[in-house]
Amino acid sequence: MFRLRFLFVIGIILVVACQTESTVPLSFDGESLEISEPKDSATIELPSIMKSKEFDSSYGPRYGGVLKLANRGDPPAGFDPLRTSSIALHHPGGALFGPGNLVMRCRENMYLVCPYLATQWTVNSGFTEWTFTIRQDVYWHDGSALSPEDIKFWLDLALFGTVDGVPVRAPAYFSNSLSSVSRVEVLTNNRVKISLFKRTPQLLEIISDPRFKIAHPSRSFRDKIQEGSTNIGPADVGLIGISPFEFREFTPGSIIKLRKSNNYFESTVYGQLPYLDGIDFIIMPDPFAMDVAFRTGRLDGGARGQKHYLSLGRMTGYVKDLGSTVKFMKVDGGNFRLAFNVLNPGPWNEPSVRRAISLWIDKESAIPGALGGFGYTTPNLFAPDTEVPEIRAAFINWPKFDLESLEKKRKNARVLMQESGYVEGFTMSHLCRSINLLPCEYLKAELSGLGIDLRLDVIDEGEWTEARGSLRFDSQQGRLTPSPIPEATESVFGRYSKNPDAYSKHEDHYVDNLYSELRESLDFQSRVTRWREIEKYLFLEQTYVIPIAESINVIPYRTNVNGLFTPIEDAHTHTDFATVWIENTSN
Amino acid sequence: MPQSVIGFIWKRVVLIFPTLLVVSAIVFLIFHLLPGNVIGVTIGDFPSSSTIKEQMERDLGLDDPLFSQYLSWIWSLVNGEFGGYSLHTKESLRSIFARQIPVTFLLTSYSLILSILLGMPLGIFGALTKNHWFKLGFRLISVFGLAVPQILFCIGVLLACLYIFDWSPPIMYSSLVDSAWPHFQIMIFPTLILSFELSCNIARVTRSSMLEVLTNDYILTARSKGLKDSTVWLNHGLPNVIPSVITFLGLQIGLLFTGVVVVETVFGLPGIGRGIVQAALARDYPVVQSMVVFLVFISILVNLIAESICMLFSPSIRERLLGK
Repeated sequence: MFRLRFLFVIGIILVVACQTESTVPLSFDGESLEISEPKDSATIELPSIMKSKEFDSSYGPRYGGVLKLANRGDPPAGFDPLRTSSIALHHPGGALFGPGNLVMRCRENMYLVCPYLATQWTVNSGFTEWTFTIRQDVYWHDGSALSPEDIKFWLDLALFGTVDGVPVRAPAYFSNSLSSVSRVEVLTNNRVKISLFKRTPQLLEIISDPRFKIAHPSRSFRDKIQEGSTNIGPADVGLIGISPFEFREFTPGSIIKLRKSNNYFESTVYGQLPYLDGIDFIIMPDPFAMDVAFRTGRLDGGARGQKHYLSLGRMTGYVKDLGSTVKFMKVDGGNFRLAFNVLNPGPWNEPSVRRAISLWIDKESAIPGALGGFGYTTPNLFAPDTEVPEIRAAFINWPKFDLESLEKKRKNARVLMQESGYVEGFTMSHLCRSINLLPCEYLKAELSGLGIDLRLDVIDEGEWTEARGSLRFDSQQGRLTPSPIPEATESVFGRYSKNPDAYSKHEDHYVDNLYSELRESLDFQSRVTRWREIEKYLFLEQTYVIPIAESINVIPYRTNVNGLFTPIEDAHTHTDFATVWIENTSN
Repeated sequence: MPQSVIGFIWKRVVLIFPTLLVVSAIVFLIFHLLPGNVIGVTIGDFPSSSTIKEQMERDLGLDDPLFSQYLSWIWSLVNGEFGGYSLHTKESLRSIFARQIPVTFLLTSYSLILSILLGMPLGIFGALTKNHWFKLGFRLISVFGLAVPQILFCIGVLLACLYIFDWSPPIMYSSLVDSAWPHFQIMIFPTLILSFELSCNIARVTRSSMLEVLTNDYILTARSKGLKDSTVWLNHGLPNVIPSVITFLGLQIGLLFTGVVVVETVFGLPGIGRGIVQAALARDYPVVQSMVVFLVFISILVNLIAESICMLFSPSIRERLLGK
């Protein structure tokens, strides 16, 4: 999915480039360039369906009603978005803390950046100083106005773990994504300036990640921290956000109740947002119980998160029971891949062996065999029914390799194994997440045909994060993509000592060079060229990682739930539900 | 109550504390030996630098020496904090216990009462009847109840509700005081599922005890006096069966807790069973350790109560336990 994000970045760069050229000529003398000046950033676009000719505007959207959605579990870390990327927080988190921070992923096109708490921004020619003008009509749920000091407080705490310049606790888990930030300052005229050590034209795309939320006003947090409670989270200070919905009640293990905020700043042509009176997030750790509850009418929407996403079999049950009263949101769930630990000695240290495995795997069969029936194989980037943004379509050619028939590829695979001296096969350990057994078993079955005995080391959730960053396993797999831009994919494809969480464990310095060249590339075409080189090196020449198939996450909603924005990928996106309305609500 | 019995109970009460201390040390070591940690679970899948993870561990005191962590946890167990607070959710253990114990207490109480009400009469009747079909049915059902895993029962019940009645239990727990009807709706199936296995066990134990008791000389003596069968069973048989059943129930409390873990998870009951599973998966040491110690304490207590009752009811058991 990094390639989608890559295209996203390209789009942004193009947009930025077009605007800067039309207003201020590009220069490198340090003067600021005006980049964005939205006319009315608080009036948002509606989903396409609501703008189409068939849509009867006199009929919808309706105000009122409480949406009942399942949630995978209790939000960890006292609802602190600085501490957790768990979807158990970020599913309700969008409604509670808002869909973005200074900026957000645009609702109509998640590959573009839209203003959120900032009305406009400027950047210097070196892309090392970004200045954001903060909206003046944003209020916290306690009625106080959002200030630039709040933004600075949050950024300081997230990026440096400091309050008023004093280190108080660990920075946010995502702070290494923004490690080039050196300083945050409050300027006059309601502005905040972010200074960076190095040229960072992708700053907007990085911070538009919906995981980076501003979750609390500064004063309450500052007071508590200064009293010595450095590990506090938003739940400790009353969960006061700036979002469409206010916190009302949280009963751990049961429910999170959010209710409409009457002073939310976004609106549509139909009026003030949000439309709903509230959202109840019902804590349902068991997906089977969620299925039963949905199918008997107790829920309006399913939970987001592994295990809770529907498989084809479960979806069939929904359709059988509910017919046209259920619809399904399909979100690209990342690339299902096999990655090697070449720092452990073994046959997989040889690129030819890894390449043989890549050629051997029947990628088409991974869809029913490993991904629950939903997915698609490369080289098709998107599912056939996905609306691909036009600007991106021109670049969807990755990875156009290995297009021969399976028979021919497997023949080549056997030749490579023979040449490497492993015609009898070998044994390789494989890190397997217990909630994802199916893909492990699929890979085991696939590789057995090549004589490879894949020894599955099944581990639970408590061990997963630590294990995938360790060298205890010869190979591992997964399907999550954390980076919004190609430059940032180094965190999952780069060298082990720099990136312990990387999928493949290697110490190949040439990968450093490739990423360095990518970051230095200024124009679109050279970035594409550099990215192609990285792909070729990682997936073909070295085969550190084998991309197998794209997964699709399926979330059920009742058909009377309208106004949902479906993100093409990354289910953390568009979770504010501000534009959602219920068709048959009584009021 | 005889002085010797009070002395015995007192000794056992005193022994609870060293037992719990040993248990706490074992539990602490087991969970700290497990691979994985709460920081990784809390952060999730997003790649994060090891420096930040180490800083977060430091913030939570997870880099302290193990012995120091153990002492600090033990202190928080006894100083009224019930084990401190959750490293994963930040909720205090006091609040977690206050929220989860009533749910599990009610569920186990309902199950226990229903199991006794069903199991004992069935067991007695099974011992006394000469009806071949009843005996066969009794055996079949009790073996079925013991053999089928509770998770299958749970799934079967939910599917039956869905397909037959197009209904499912409420998705949120309601307390008995606040909303009795939703409380009944959400508790009825977990109670029935837990009771099924337990009542099968009780019925089997009651039946075999009753059959054994009926072979004793004092039963023969009672019959020879011309007493009615029902009088013999109720006045001479049953009182001698009860201690066996009570002892058995004491031992079954652990099994009941195991069942609670399953049914609470599937039926969405926010009790200790579900809480302990989630805390263990999240490597939330203070929560899982404190809960395990609490459950061990409850097991010891229940067994002590069972023994005390047996001593009161049965002189033979009293003599055996007191070593006379």
